Amino acid sequence: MSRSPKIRITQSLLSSWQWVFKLDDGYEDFLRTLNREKKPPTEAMLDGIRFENVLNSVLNGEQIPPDHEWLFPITEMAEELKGSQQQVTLFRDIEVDGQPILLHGVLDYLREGHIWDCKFSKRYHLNKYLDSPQTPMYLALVPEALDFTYIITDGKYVYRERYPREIVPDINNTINQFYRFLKQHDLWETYVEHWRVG
Amino acid sequence: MAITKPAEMNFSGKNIIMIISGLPGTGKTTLALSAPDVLLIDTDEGMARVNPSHRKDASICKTYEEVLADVKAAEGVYKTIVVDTTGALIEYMKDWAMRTDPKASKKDGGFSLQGYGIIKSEFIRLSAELRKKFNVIYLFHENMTKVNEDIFYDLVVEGSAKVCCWQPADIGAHLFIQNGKRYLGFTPTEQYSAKSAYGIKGLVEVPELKDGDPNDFLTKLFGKIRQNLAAESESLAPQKKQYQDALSDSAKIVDTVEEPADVQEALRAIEALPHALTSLKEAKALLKKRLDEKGIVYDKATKAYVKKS
Repeated sequence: MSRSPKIRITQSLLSSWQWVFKLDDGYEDFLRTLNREKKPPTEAMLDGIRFENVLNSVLNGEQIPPDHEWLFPITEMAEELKGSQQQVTLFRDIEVDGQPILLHGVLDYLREGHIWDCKFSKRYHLNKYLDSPQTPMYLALVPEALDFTYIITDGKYVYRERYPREIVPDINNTINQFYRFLKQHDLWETYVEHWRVG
Repeated sequence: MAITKPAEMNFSGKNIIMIISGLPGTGKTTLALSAPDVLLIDTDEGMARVNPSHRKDASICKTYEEVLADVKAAEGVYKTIVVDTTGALIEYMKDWAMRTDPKASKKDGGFSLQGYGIIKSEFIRLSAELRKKFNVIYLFHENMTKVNEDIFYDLVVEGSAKVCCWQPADIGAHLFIQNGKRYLGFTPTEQYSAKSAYGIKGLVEVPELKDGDPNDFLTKLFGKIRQNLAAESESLAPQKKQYQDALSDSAKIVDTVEEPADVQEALRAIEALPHALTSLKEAKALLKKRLDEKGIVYDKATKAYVKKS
């Protein structure tokens, strides 16, 4: 009996799929992600990358100038995140309904059983990440973690959404729904073609 | 010296900040009065709707400065400050900001964007200040808004304060009535905002208060939170010690890596340590950083570590 090939899954793929139900052009955007087409980063993404670079520099010992536009959020976040490991790349093999899957993710920060993900959002609203698949995905990547916190800034203030493990649903539920969607929309073969491991 | 060992930590005096939100008539004020030794900052005439047998002391203020003065006077007398409602307190803060800071007013007399920034900062400052001396309960009215086909129970408060008010809160719940029973929902859902922590999660039923019953639901809940905190600290203490030891030993091993030939042995030594929490993953991340510094990479073809060419 031939065994199904192992397929990679990332939080950005699952997140892109979730936007299918929220945005008018979400489906087209999801197809580009599924086909692994490179997209130019948006201005918001570039802001986020720039912010995280400054934060990581400060965590690695650099001083932030007192007149820096992000002095307050960087100082507050650096205090919370000091001593953590940054950009931790992780893989984990799991199986959902007999399908071998490779979970793959990069944690922004990891320390003493806690995971943080840094977000730069100019228009943050409460519970913005409540249904984000990143939460169950990263908690599945680190089964020994106690909780997952989104640490968010709009460039001025710092906000947090903390999700203790006990209130986060299992990633298998999301993956099951995702696979059902792919099969219903005849996208399974495309997925296997582009996300197969090895 | 202020370093305390987990076993010596005492959470019996920890002050708690809680948000309770609900539609009018769900009994928010009466519930909030069940916290220990309450002073109610009554900006919404909420006390008038409370059964007289459950009433507690109240500060009836008309300006933000009066609120601050009454809070100052409450130090050492009360254990809990209830703000009823926080939406109304924010309106007081807006008035205060416009009177005391020219940046808070627009030229046409309206409230400026900078003004909202002033309120955010003041709310966070006030919460931090209150927590030093009191438990704090922020009450919010809710209204129902339609998001697609779903109902969302939204806090009644000026927009930007809606987000910042959750930051200092330890826990928060949506109070609602279903089939004649009252519940606090501590886990956020698509229908309402909430904050779960210290083992308080999901739906918690609030028992009906009958004549003569003590109104002490939140006093017991706060006691439970402190118990949970102490239990969690105690159960995690051995893991944290093992975590620290494993990371410290791993760092020493990582420092010995100079050449590709050192990597496998270092990896084996790290994996052989007794790990706890996320120490193994963090130790491997430390090793990866070391390899990057030393220009060592894994060569898939030879399945060995080599110097980067």
